[in-house]
This record gives sequence, structure tokens and C-alpha cells, in this order.
Amino acid sequence: MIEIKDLRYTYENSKETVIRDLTLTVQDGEFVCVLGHSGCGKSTLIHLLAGLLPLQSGSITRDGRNMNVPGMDRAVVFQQYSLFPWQTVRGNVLFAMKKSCRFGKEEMERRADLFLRKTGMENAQDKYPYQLSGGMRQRTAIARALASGAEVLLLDEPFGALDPAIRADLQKLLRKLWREEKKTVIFVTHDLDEALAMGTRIVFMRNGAIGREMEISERISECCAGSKGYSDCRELRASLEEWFHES
Amino acid sequence: MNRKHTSILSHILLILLCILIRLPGKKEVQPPFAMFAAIALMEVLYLIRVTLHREQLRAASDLMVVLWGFLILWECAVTKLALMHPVLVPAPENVFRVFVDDRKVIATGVFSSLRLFLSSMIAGLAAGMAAGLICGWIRRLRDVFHPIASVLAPIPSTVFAPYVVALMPTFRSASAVVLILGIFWPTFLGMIVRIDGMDKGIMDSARAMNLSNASMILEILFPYAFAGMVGSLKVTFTTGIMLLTFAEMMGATSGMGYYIVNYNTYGNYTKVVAGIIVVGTVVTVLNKCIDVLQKKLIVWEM
Repeated sequence: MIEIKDLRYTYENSKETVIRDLTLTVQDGEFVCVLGHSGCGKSTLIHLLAGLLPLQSGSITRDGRNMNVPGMDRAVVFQQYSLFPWQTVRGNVLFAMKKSCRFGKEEMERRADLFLRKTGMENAQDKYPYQLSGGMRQRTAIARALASGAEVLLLDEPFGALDPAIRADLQKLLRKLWREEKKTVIFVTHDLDEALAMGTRIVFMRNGAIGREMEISERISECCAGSKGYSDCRELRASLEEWFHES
Repeated sequence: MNRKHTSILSHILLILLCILIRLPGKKEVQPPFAMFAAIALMEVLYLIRVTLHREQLRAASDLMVVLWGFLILWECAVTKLALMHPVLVPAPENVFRVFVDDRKVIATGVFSSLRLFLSSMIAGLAAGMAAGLICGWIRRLRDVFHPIASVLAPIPSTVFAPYVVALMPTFRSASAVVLILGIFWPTFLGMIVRIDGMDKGIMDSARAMNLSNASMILEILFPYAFAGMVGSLKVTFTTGIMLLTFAEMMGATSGMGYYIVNYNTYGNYTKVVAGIIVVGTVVTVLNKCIDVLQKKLIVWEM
């Protein structure tokens, strides 16, 4: 369980506090979507959770252990492409596992095969990032994150720069992988439809704090992902949109 | 004019040049066999290039048109019509003859220069990269050394020459130090700037893996910065060649720079021009080697 308590953060050379007394609990295996407008502090929250920014006030713990420095229990997928350009797709996936020091050589190779297959990248594993499309790069980033063995996946608008069709494909893929791998996922987005289609819970952020929270049933998720049609989904979406814009 | 026409034109100019050389002129010159050999060598290299890379036919043919055109002008103006200054502008036949007569001296000079040049380049690049990587990553060191490098990098290392000559035991070691200093500071500063401007996504991605300082420097910063270093190698080599020529003026007894400076002192411009052609040829060969290195070492792109 991840517990965030009274978190506050202000960037150097800035007077404005980006995160204000934020408190949030995320259960193991949850898929939490953090939804909010640009500049509300979503990405700062992900960077704090990843240990990439120093804690100034408050605490972030996982099962009682501090998360104030980066660790291989967490893996991050960013919006901007963050693969190492000097390594192939397979090299990127193996590098993360090597650094996690959790697996033997054979196990690493096996896991690389497994997650490259699961993300549909097995045929492009010898390519370099510059040879890949945006969608393929993010598939590789997801494969790298999952293969590393991290229990928590932190995703900072990972599909924000992709075309709608590719984004929908990757949303389905991520949701499928989350079900299979049973990881804890914290997914930042500013897209309400994406949050509805992906998460088991939506957390609305406003001015650096949690505005509202809402559990999303599997039924609604599937409806919003476009696999089934529910009349109440449309109503729910409309009310959430109103809610979202108010925040 | 399409590429086929350019190729035909280059060969017409070649034939014209060969005929021109055989015609009697106003100036007494050495027998033209060395010049013919050089022309044959250039033509063979051209043919090899266009056979291996058909797509480069136009560029290669354009270059040959310029080259043959220049040699025709040179031959006409100096040997056939004697329009130029008899000492300052030597006849091409005499210049190419120098490559035969002075072949041993030139070969020794090239070998000596390359030994000094390559060893100093490698030392300067390695030291600049290592120090730049460490200072680029450790913020406290960067804050101290970045301003120092910003001041020292633009100063030509040749201004330190009098001190270096006084401090070092031999002129050759002094030349090496001038070369190393000239390569070190720009490389060091370039590394710091490159690491400072490193792609945020890549940096965050690496930091999120909680890598050790050694791992960060060797496995992330080094490959990232190495690509930039190899990319700017041609500029670094050009700076190095300039420094080498200067360094060989500091009391050297052999080398490409020494050869030119020495015969310049005696007013033997035939050998000076031959020396300049040798430097140009060596730089071209080095640039080709860098192209091959770049393709072999950097198989990826940012």
C-alpha cells in the first residue's frame, strides 16, 4: 500500500506551491488514474513518487518504507520518449532488469522474450529507438517497466503524444497487462475518457490537492473503453465532465 | 546538366589536360611523369568511388570537373604561357616531381606528424571526455570548473607555447602539450554543455533506476556524450591540424608543418606547395577514416 500524507512541494525559484497538503492512499493492485488540468501538479506528484524530486514536506511510504529516493520497486513511463537511444529495444528492456539485480541471466532473457511478446515488440527487438514509431517506443517503455520487476508502475501521460487510434490500442494493452501482472498503477492523464477507460479509481486533482475521488466499476470501464454500450455510461460521463471542468 | 553529362565533361577535361601537358610551353619544367602518375591516381580513385557508390556519380564528377579545370588553368598560366610570378607560383610538373624526389623526407614527416598528432589527440580527447563527464554529472564540480573552462577554452593553446617550451624537457613534448591543451579544453567544455542539455526524458528515466554514480557516468552519460564527441570529431581534427602546424614550428626537425615552414624560410615555393598538397591529402584521408569510424561506432541516432 502506498500512503501519501500531507505532501507539499514548491519548485526552486518559484513562489507558487505546486502540491498542497496532498493525502492519498493507493492499495496494492489498484489502477489509479490521477486526472487534472495542465499545471495542477499531476506530473510533480509522479516525479515525487518516483523519487526524482526531493521531499520538502509530508511523507510518501510504501508498506511503511520511505519512497523519497528512486528505487527499482517503481518503474516510470514518461510522456516524452525516454528509451536509451544507443540501445536496441531488447537492450533497453534488459538494461532495466540488469540494474534491478533481481534476476539471473537466463531469467532476464526469458522475461525480455515474455514482455516483448506481450507488448507486441518481439519482431522489432533488434531495432534502435530512432527506427520506431511513437507507439512502438511507448510499448517498449511499458515492456521495460514491466520486465524490471517493479511492483509499482508510474505513468506520466504516456500516450499523450500519440494518435487517437494508437492511443486506444495502447490503453487496451496496458489494461490487459495490468490484469495479468497485478501491478499497482498510478496513471496521470488530463483526458477524462482515458481515465474512465483505464482506472479502477479516478482521483481528481485541483490546485495541487485531491479534489474528488471516484471508484470505477469494471462495467463502466469496459463501456468507456468502447467494448459495450451502456446508456448510464453516457450520463455518468456527462456528469463527470461537468465535475472535471468545475475543478 | 545531368550526371552523365558531367561525367563526360570531366573526362573531356582530363583528355584536354593530358594533351596540354604534352604540348611545348614557355617555361622549362621537370619531365611530367610524376604529374601523369598523380593524375592517373586521381582518376582511379574517382572511378573506384563511382563504381562503389553510383549515387555519388554527380558529386564526384562535379569535383573532378573543378579539379581538372584548376589543373588546366594552372598548367596554362604557369607552364605554357608563363603569366605568373616565376618563384611564387611554381609549375605543376615541378610540384608533382617533389613527391618523387622528396618521397623519403615527406614519408618520414607524415609519419612523425601523425604520431605526434594522433597520440596528442587521443590524450586530449580522453582527458577532456573523462573530466567533462565527471564534472558534468557532479553539480558541485561543474559549478567550479564550468566558468574556468568557459574562459580557457576559447584561448588558443598556442599563446601558452613560450611557457610550455620553457617548462617541458624537449620541443617535441612541448608540441604535444600545446596540442593536448588545444583539444582538452574545448572537449571538456563541450562535454559539460552536452550533459547539461541532455534529454530530460532520458535523464529522468536513468535516474528513476537509482543508478550508482559510476553506472550513471559509464552507462548513460558516456554513450550519450560519446556520440556528440564523435560527431564533432572532424572539427576537432581540423583544430588539431592547425595546432600541429604551429607546434611543429617550435623547433621541430621533421613533420608536415616543419617541411612547409622550413622551405618557406628558404623561399622554395615548389616544395611549400607540395607540402600543402601533402597536408591536404593527409587531412582528406583522416576525414575519410573519421567517416568510417562514425559509421562503425555510432549505429544509432538521437
